[in-house]
Amino acid sequence: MTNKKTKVTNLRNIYLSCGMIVLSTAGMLHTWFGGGWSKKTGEAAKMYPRLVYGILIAVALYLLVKELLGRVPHEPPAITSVKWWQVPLMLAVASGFFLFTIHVGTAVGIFLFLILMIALFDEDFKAHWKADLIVAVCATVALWLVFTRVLPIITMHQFLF
Amino acid sequence: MALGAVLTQAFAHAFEPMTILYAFIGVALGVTVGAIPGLTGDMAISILLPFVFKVDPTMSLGLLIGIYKGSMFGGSISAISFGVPGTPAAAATVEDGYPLAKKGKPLQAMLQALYSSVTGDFFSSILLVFLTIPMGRLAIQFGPSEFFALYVFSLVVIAILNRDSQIKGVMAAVFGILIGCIGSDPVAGASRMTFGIKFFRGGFPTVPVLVGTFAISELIIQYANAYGDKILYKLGQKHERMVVDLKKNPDDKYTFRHYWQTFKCTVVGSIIGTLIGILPGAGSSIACYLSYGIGRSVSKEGDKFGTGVLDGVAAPEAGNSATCGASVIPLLAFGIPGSATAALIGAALTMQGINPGPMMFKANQVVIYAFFIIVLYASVFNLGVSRLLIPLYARISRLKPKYLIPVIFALAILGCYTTDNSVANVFTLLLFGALGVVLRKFRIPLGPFILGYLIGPAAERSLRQALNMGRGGVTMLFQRPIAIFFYVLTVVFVVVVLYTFRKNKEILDKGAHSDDE
Repeated sequence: MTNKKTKVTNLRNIYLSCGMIVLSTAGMLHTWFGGGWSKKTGEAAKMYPRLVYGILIAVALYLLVKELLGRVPHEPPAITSVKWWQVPLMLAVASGFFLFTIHVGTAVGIFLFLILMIALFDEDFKAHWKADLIVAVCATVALWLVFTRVLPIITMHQFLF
Repeated sequence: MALGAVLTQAFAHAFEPMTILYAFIGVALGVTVGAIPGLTGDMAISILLPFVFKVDPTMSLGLLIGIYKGSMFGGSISAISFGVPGTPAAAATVEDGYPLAKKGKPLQAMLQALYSSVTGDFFSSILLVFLTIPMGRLAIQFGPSEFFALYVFSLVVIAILNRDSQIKGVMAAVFGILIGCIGSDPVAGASRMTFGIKFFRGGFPTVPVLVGTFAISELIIQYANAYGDKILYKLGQKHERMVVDLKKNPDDKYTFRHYWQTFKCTVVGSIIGTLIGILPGAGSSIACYLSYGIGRSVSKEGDKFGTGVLDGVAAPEAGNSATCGASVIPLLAFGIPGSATAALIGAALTMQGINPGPMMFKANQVVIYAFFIIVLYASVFNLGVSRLLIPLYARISRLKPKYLIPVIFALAILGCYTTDNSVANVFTLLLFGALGVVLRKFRIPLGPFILGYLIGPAAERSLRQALNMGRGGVTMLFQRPIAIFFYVLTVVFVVVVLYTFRKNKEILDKGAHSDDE
């Protein structure tokens, strides 16, 4: 028979607390043995991060113990619509857009990014391609004008605007 | 400078045509983003951060406070129209607003939301004007140990008021402080935790961190929602939202009598919202639920809450809007923002070379007084603009995300790049966007994380200065009466909050997971 009181209700909290403990312990050790500290960094500058790491470890341990004892109420999964693979995909598209833009030029970069993203979002791109294209062109012109004419901002002017 | 001369200059700044225009645009933009589910005032302000430092401080403040105020009411439009809160702050408005719309009275519900919202906002704005300067004068007397005690109080409040899970609130705030430690030590200026990476020496730049955490993470979530809709559409299961017609029902009217009948709940919401807003990190979503819960207990129609009564719209709307002015009070007086949105406004001020906090009253008097004037007339704009454009906003709330999200995404990336033409800024933005999604997935609140990140270095500076004054001894932290007052207040506050949460558990639990998607 399963005892409900000792059953872990939120597995993600176990991952979270273990991750925090590992991260904070590594960080704490880094304050003693790691690099990346300048020579003039005194002990006082290291004390505060140690204190912060210590609190994080304590909090994560508290959550872990509470979860293992089954004392945390059930939490429904958060933002279930986001799948883990979508995060790097979005970041890759955004990085690609940015790197493309700094080498080619703002206007062309924005247009390609917009049309690609709208196509990704559209339920039926084949049916709506004209409207999508008009929106992408208008938004590109608007953004380009805002950046280069309305606001005194220096954008990435390359061989294509 | 004499007060008369300061006020004359402040009026001149506040009533410059461009400042008025910026405040007007801010309100209109705020209601628009608030009305569109998924877009929030935080997101709009964070995306505009890279641009606002190019304009005059009073103009940028007009724009930002306009967005803040407008978005509070805007959230109620989609909450009433089709039961989806435009912002987490409007989640409680759905409870009675949507049933009213289904009864054929959407316009009545929206006007109730608007008038209660403006009343709550105006109430807290008046307090902002009259409380900020005395509190700022008090803060000038503070030394490092008093400030450290105040930071401890703020961080405890930020963490404990997380209605979802207090322990995760603490974790978020401490994790934010840790991120704030990266870079240079605020006392000696020596670099630390840089892992040998040159870019880390100055710490993470504030704008990309804020835009990434609030805006990019939200855009990734919206993308995922739209992707889910696309799959549903392909499967032929697309759920169409109810479309309300504001001209359909001749009984759908709102008169002064309605306003007067719901005035008690509006006042209750205004007081609760102001009290919650003044506390660091509490935010508007908790204010709207507490106002709804307490409004139910004071209303004559308390037993009918949830079936579509005007009191059920008045209390939460007054509550969430009353946090606007109130959350700026601790920002201006002590340099500690009362909400994530106030933190963004604080970041905008810092980018303008104005450091929020007690010294602002000496160095930037004109800006402060001009800000007070703008805060008051922005409430009037909110009333006028929203009253005229309610039918238009109801339509805007149905705008397709497939067009909005890519445009906002491009704006955020280019905006962050152009703050100092740094490629590293863009990658910081994307890194914190991903971190924001991860934090949300683990139900770690973003508000305490950001407030911890912003407050952390100042707290460290105060702690180390106090320890230096005490020659390394911790007793210095507990010797000053104001510091002791804040430590006692912290303990009392924790007890009161835990008691209030337990008492209103039912209604708070209802809203605990309302801002998940």
